[in-house]
Amino acid sequence: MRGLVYVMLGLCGLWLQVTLAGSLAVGGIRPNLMLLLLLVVGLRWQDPWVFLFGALVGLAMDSFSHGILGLYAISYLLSSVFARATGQAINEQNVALNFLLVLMLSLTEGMISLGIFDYLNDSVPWWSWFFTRVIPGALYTALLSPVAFPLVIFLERSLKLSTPELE
Amino acid sequence: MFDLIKRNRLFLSALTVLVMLALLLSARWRAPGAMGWLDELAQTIAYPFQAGYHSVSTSLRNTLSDYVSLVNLRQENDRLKLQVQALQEEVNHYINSAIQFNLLREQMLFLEEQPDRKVFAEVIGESVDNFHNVLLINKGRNVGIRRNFPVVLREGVVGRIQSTTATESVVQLIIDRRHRFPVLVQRSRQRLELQGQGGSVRLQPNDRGVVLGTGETLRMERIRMLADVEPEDRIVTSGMAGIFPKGLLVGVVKNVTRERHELFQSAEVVPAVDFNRIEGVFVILKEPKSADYPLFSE
Repeated sequence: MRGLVYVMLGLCGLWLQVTLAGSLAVGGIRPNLMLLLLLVVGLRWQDPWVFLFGALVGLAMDSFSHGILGLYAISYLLSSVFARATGQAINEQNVALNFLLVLMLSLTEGMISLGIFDYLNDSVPWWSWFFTRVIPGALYTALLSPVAFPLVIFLERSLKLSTPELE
Repeated sequence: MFDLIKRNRLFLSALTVLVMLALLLSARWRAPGAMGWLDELAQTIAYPFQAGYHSVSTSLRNTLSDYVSLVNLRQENDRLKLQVQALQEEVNHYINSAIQFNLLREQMLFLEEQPDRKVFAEVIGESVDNFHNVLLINKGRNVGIRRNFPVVLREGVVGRIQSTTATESVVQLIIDRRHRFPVLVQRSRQRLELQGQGGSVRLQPNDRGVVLGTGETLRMERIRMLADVEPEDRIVTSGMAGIFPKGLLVGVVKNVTRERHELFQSAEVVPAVDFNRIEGVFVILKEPKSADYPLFSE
């Protein structure tokens, strides 16, 4: 059951990222809806195999960004592991805390991606991209967390999925 | 031993996936042309999503546009009737002009050799992240498009074909960070005439540089210190990379940076093409043998 939910979530997240993220772009910065979904799922469900979900949706993101295959797969895998560990460490969840956690984890993902990108491309303007792309992108993604968390909670309750919080 | 593996199966699985992805990344980076089937598979899966979205958004936009145009339709109709009468007279004049134009055009075409065969493609998608500057177009190998074919517009250079499938291609824009190619500084026609040289434009072979994308604009680097580069200079392709034909407009110099301790000067270049408004592009079809030439950018 949970596997099917992950597949559906992955497809929905990808669909939203391809169709909606471009329209939501502000000043050329688009929110990372796929990452948001991954982080929310990682933080709430704390599934031990969430890294596999991260790697797969990362590969999908690589395909849709037409960049280097593996870039997002690695950064999403690591982000999902961090999200799960953070979720386990912090039991309490509220809007402000969720926003902060998503912001921090998005920034971490951005830095991992940028690090890999920098490693593969010489003379990437690291700090310039960090301030003009990673931080605004992470902020934008985190701002959408008050919408994403209730949606995932609604999904949990509708499908009666067991979560650490509900158990 | 088995218990140890069983106890740490989660960690070992994660590590295995990470290592496999790192190997994939490394292999793809070292030999971008290898495992092309993987790209093709990924693009084939991605294509219906992006093409579907494009189709739906176009339909919605057209529907909205139709509704808006119904408003004030009657008033506009009256106004247009008056305009039609005035235009009918004008049309007679243009018919005469068109006949003359066609005659002249045929002569021009006869005189002018067309060096490049181009194919028009519609833009159907773009990269979904904030790091890559690529476009997806709806033409691929079926019409003869191959990797590294140049993509242009009337305004100037757009980019190059990054990868293709049978029905679609990915265009890497010149503002993409991974893209760099050699260029020339092109002086104005006015100066050319003052210097009394023949031809339409003067290319200065010594004033070369390398243009690389910064994600938003272009930066020209490795310009020798004595080279005469000034703001408002037009930058054209040099034809040396084996991708773009020589003389295509790349952009205009915005500002030049000269540091005393540096060996070269650099310049910021504003692209000739507005990449936010591209709806269709021309792909120049080159000879098949040129497709896999050693490239300057790699």
